Amino acid sequence: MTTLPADHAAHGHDHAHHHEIGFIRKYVFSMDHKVIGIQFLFTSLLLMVVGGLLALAVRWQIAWPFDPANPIPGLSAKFFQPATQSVLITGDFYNMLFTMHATFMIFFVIIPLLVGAFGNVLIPLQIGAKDMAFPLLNMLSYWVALSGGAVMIAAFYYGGAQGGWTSYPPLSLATFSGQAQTLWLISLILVGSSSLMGSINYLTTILNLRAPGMSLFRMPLTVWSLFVTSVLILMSTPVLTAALLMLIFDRHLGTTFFTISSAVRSGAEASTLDSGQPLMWQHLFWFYSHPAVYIMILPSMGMTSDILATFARKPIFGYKPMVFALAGIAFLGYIVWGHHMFASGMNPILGTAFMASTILIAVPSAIKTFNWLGTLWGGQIHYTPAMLFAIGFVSMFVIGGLTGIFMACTPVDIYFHDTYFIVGHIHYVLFGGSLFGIFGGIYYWFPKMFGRNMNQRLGVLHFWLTLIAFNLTFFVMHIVGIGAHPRRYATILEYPSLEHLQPLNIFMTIGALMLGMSQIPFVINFFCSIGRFGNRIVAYPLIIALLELTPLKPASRLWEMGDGHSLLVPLLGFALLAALMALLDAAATNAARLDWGRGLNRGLLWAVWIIALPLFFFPVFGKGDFWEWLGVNSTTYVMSAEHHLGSPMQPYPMAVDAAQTEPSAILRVEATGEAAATPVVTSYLLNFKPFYEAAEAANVDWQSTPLAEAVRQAPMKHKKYNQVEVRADLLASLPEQVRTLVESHRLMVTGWMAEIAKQERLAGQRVSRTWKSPRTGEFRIVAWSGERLGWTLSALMAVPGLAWFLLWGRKEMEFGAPTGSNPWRANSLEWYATSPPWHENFHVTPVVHRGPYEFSSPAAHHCGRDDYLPQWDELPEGVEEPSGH
Amino acid sequence: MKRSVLSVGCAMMALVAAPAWASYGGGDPSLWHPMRRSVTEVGFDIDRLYWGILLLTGAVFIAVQIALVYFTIRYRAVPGGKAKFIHGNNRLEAAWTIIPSIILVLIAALSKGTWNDIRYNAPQSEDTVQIECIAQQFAWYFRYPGNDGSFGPRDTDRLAEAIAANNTSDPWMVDRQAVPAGWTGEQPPGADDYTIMAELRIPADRPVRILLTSNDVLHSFYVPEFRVKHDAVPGMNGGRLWFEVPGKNVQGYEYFDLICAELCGLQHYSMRGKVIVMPSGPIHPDALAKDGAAWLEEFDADEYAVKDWLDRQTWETYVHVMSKITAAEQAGAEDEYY
Repeated sequence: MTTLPADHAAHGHDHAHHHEIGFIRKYVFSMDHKVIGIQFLFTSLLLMVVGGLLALAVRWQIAWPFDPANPIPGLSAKFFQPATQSVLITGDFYNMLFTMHATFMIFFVIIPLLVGAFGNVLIPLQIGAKDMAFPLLNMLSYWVALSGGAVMIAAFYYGGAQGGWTSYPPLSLATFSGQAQTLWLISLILVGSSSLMGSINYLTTILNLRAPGMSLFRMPLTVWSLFVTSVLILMSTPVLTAALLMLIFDRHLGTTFFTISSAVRSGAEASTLDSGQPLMWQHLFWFYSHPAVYIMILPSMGMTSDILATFARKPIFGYKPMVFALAGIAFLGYIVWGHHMFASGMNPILGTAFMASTILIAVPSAIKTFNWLGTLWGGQIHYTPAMLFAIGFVSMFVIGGLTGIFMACTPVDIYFHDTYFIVGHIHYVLFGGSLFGIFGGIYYWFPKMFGRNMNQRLGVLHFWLTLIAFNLTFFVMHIVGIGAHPRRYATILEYPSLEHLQPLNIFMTIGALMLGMSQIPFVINFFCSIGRFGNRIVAYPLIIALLELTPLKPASRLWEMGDGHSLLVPLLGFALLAALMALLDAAATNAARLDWGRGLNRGLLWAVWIIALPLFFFPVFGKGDFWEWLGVNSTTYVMSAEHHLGSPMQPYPMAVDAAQTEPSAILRVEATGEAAATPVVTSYLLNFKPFYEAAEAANVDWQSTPLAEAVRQAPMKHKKYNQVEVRADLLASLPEQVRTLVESHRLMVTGWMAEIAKQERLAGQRVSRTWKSPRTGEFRIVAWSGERLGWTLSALMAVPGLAWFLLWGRKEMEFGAPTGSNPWRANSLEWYATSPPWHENFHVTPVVHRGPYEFSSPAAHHCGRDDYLPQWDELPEGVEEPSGH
Repeated sequence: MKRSVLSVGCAMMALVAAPAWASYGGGDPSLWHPMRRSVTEVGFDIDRLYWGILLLTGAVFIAVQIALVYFTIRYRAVPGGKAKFIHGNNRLEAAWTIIPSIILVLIAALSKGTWNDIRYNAPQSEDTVQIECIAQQFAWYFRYPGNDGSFGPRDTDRLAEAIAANNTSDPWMVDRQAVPAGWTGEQPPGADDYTIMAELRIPADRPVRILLTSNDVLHSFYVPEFRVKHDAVPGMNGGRLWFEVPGKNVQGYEYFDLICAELCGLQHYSMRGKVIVMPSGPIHPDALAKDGAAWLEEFDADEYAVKDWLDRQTWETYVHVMSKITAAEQAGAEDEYY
């Protein structure tokens, strides 16, 4: 009969410690690690959009290079350099695109997300610290990083840095580059300083502020990985900062660290005084930037390990080897930087040494991979979006790791160096690895950050779209790399030995556009879940193996969007979707011009677009809030019984100790709207059919069990959620069946207010419709679900699109039927040869020319798009079959 | 148990080997494996290493992915199911630490010999041809030593003047153009040096050593079919770049593309050169060393041009179209497409 009204205790406790501080101090210049982490999260996600759009522009240029009829949508040189009349991009503009893409993604997206966002949010929570060791330094690290970002964005004004993200001198010296390069250097110094502040903070916090009982080898692997990462940052960032300063001095103060004097260029012996050495930059740069690759992957590895363990319901396989592998990667990471320089003219003896160390770094990576497989083995795998991304991480990281062996082997690297093989490799590590880990982490810790859960179906959709589009885009990069496609080329069409790879380039570009679109469900899910459309059911996922997720400490709700903003977010997503679809549509138009990809043209795309559109409105229709907004009263209930303490899943003695005194199970009820504070919640718990059944099976009257009594006595007055905490002795006194039910199942009740009210009127009767999921063992009582209406409406909205596609779109499909020639073999060179020169068709609507036959036909020049049909079977009059086709 | 492991391993290898061999197709490039044949002997060594690593990593790739997919299906959550409570297995850990280590060290050891060939074991014989390659934004310049077999001074300022004086009309800079003599000095040994832009002509069956340097920023000398790549660094003379092309391997090639593989600025993508391998038959074997200029002049590449993967007719059409564009550009139509 001992019931703890623990939610009130916990809440009161929580608020008691927070002094009333103003909005600015609380949310803007905050020293709270959670808020700083979320600031990093938002900033980086925003800049990820910038970096992603730059990447799409890069891909567009490679696929349809210098084509005045199809400039990069919304991003012409004219936009950046208003003085020029050009809509065409130039070589240096293209250099700017990929330089800024890499810079943003590496220094402003992946590192801040992993180290800044997850490091800040998770470290104190996972080691049981109140906050970081140096809160002020922590705040400063965010604002310094933000100012670095501002400087980098300012570099756009000067045309953007164009020397590649590696910025090798002499190209990055003042002679060969503009002011933007200086801004780039300054920005990186700022970001590096921010990293240093963060790493000092993390190291101090982890070493000094762990809770009693949390020894180093009991820390979650996420914390371990962030610890190792901090060591890497602390030891390598100063080297980069020094190199950046030296380059600034070379550019503006006339020093010659990297500058070659004219005499030495002409072959004179270098003296130590008047001439520098460009290769030194590469050594200094890669001494930071190779460890930076591990800075970008290690935290993802740690988070993946924890997610895999949680959702496989197992402890991590080989905890200590995992820790040693992390340390091994970090150590080896310091002595492999030279593998970026095998072709640079570095002494070949160094090449041999770096080959050995680089090849050995595959060993700890293999250990980690096999341990992840061991963690999955024998588990009970629950496929949440976080788990899907974690499994995807393992799968994609294996590819990224194995392709690394090719480059580690010096002779083979001679062929692959600076080709697209490298580009594919790095994207498998940084996108398939780091970003998949980041996505998994966001889905996993979102409830902890925002007090709500993300929509799981949209999450699964996001995962599969991303996985497919990602592989379509980046796997092909290996193939063109094998064909010696050089990286950083604005076009390969000037090389007869390369231009046959162009169709693959177009293929990759369309894949990249799909990849960009695949992030739309995530954007919508992320923002909607923060706002009022969020699934405010905070039933923590399954049994939680990690300390920080135990619901003893309620999640902080940082953002509560007002009612007026409810529809803004989905509409924003809709606008984004429209913009990206327009991009893809234009891409398809181009594909048609290139005599390739005829299956993928406007007809199909617009059909897909119209069919897919309603999907993105699912968060609107699928949630009760929409109907609430319309005036229909609805609510959602969740009752979860979490057996989260004292389970064999808990490797941490601190938690086990807590089990002696703390509740051992929690029945939590979440409610919204006016229902929250009504006795409905109590009655719903008391009338829950599975309890009746379990009690009946034990020949006990459910209403007289101590649990029911506890429920009756628990004060249910909180606005957002109510919970009944069941202590261990109470649990022990329950009948076997009821105890099993409470311990092992998560109970979910979803219903409409009207239905609940009906149940209330019929108090004492059982809920009529129950459903037990055969797969997950969840109990669900669905009285009337808003989701069903949402899906129905979505399907109805798709009907016009489908009809349009069947009636008109199909025609365009046929239009592109690949007969007569193998589209794979039609190369762009042929297209160039058969299209009129650019200056002729610049001012007119582009006419689709395909194949050599139509080009010779005078009719082809005058036909419109609709009445044009390819005559593959017979040649136009006066045209002879060219030989060789 | 052991036998089953072995047979599973063999099956894996076969799984990888079959498509790999199919895509290899005797060395001809295909859509799925567009690597063109090597034409140098060292390149064959590199290719052997490449195929070995491809088979090995392919087997590991397939094994891991199959295991991953199997586990995710086999161990999905079922109602009432219980996960195994396992913390790890030290024997397994030792196994998957030691076995990859051995294999990887083996790869490194096998690579060492080829790496030596590439970078150390450059031929020292008498008939080695030495050609200086000066990379400059955005063209390649090749200097032949002339009759005396040795180079004059490399005065980069004078080279720049000579290039500027030699007004080029080819915007793509793919056609060879001789740089006016004299920039290497009026006295021997520089007086007879012969400098040519964008086109490297080398004899077959003789080792060629490229003295690679740069006049401004970093460039990289990359000929995929030769399997060579070396950065051109200002201030360094890069004497480790060499290759020897057997004449029998270049049958059917008109020329090879010389690609700049290191970002060098605005027109990095169009810094293109041609490497023409000249059969030494009709020409005096020592002509190259004796009189580079004459040797180059009397040689007509078209005689030896054989149509291969490049459709020559298409290429000519392409060049024709481009020349029309160039003409339009010169006629003052710049605004229309720039």
